[in-house]
Amino acid sequence: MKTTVTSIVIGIALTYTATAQLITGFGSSAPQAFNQTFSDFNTNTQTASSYQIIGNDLNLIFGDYTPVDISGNLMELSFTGTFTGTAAGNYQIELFDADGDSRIYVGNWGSFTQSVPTTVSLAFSSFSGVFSGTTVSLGLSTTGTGSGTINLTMDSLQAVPEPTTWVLLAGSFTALMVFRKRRKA
Amino acid sequence: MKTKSSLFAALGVLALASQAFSQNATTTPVGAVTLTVAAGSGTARTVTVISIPLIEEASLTGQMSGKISSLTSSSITNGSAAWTAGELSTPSAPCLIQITSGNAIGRIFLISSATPNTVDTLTVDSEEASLVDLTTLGIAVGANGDTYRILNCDTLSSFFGTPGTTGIQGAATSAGADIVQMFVSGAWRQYYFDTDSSDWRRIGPNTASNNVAIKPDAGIMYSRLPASSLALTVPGIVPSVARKAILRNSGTTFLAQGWPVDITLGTSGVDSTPGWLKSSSPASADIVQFQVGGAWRQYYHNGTQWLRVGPNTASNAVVIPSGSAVMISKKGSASGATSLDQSMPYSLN
Repeated sequence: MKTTVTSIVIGIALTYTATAQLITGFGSSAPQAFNQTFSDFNTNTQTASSYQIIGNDLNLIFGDYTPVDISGNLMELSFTGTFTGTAAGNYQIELFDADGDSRIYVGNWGSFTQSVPTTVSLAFSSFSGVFSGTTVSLGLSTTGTGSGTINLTMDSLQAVPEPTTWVLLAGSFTALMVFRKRRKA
Repeated sequence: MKTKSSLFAALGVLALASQAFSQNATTTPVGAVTLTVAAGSGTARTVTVISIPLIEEASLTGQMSGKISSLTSSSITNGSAAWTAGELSTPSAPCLIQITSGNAIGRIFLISSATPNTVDTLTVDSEEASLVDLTTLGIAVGANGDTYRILNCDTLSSFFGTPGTTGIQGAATSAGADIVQMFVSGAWRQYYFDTDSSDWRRIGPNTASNNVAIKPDAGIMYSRLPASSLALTVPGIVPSVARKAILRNSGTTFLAQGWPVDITLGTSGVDSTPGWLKSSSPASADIVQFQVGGAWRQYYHNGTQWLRVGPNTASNAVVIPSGSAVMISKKGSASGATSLDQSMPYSLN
């Protein structure tokens, strides 16, 4: 019984480690509430769980949230939102630490299915400065031509766990199953 | 791009590196710089912001440099010019006039093609005339008048050429072509090379656009579609006087960096332009944005220094690369324009 509990605790802990690397919402009351501090989009509308921006390509939003530890070697982010517009180039999401150093991720508007909630992948692009591992704020900047339109409702931004994290998770659950079989035997 | 093979044959292609300007020179350096446009993906375009960092002196009939004998709000006269009527107003080979002494030193104006020059008088392009009244610039006239020189002005056709001459991607429709975008008369205009008509066309009205002028102060967004970069060679001479660029009093100005060497935000002089809004909040400040590493970044001045919008990191030392451009957004609705004054970031003595 003791080993089973221990395995469950380990499994939960590892699962928590993975899901702690989430910026779970852009809403005003989401676990990581997004507080806009700058925007040059024409319209910014925030609900409890989402944040909508309407404007042109070449605009920027910036805001902060409760600090999140993303010290793992995250190479990919998973971004969920609804996009409608003519902007066709790239956009950039930059996660900043308290000193303004950052990790930069790049996505493309063409990855969204127009007007339908879509989860898309953002690839790691580069570091700027020496990132501390804890992000406290986020900037989304569009990188196109200034003439495309953007209507984006952002729901969540999730760090995709590294393969090694999945290996640890799989290992913990395998261990759990082994302990349970032993207990039955 | 104007090909001056004879020039290069005589002088060789001199790469203008920054180091060159740490040394004194007795003549204005002549040569070429190469602008690199980033590759697209083949299916998606990549935007590179470019500008023309060198100038070209015109070689036509009459005085290509001289003294201003009189002027009006939109015209300049040199009684001794002896120009050939219309030669400075050829639509396919437009010209510029640069003031080279006095209070307005560094001002450059596009010479009107719609109103052809006479033997001694030229008219400034109507868009610039709507922003700047020449009589308000303190330009001296008469026997001791300020000096000028006539420069060549590139066009879409002369600068970007054709797929066969420069490697730009053309297509039967804009969907398959590289796109050049400029901010003209307060609005974005986009152009592509139409392989059916074998000329540059404006997207939308589909008007022939080979002769659209690219002024030295113009920022250009080049959207590259093929998965290969593009190298554009710019021949010319190094700017040899200070710069006074036209900056709209409100809204967007897409302005060339202007020099064949890098400068920084802190030395750009943007925050010293009349009426520049400084604030501790970027929401209340005028904004400068330009590409850093392919991504747009925005900056504002808080009264003490430049800061990056968002993380608020100190940014006086951020480099504005040669051959790039900055987008300046001024708040409010004031009409007209002011002047961005910049000293030469190098010595030619």
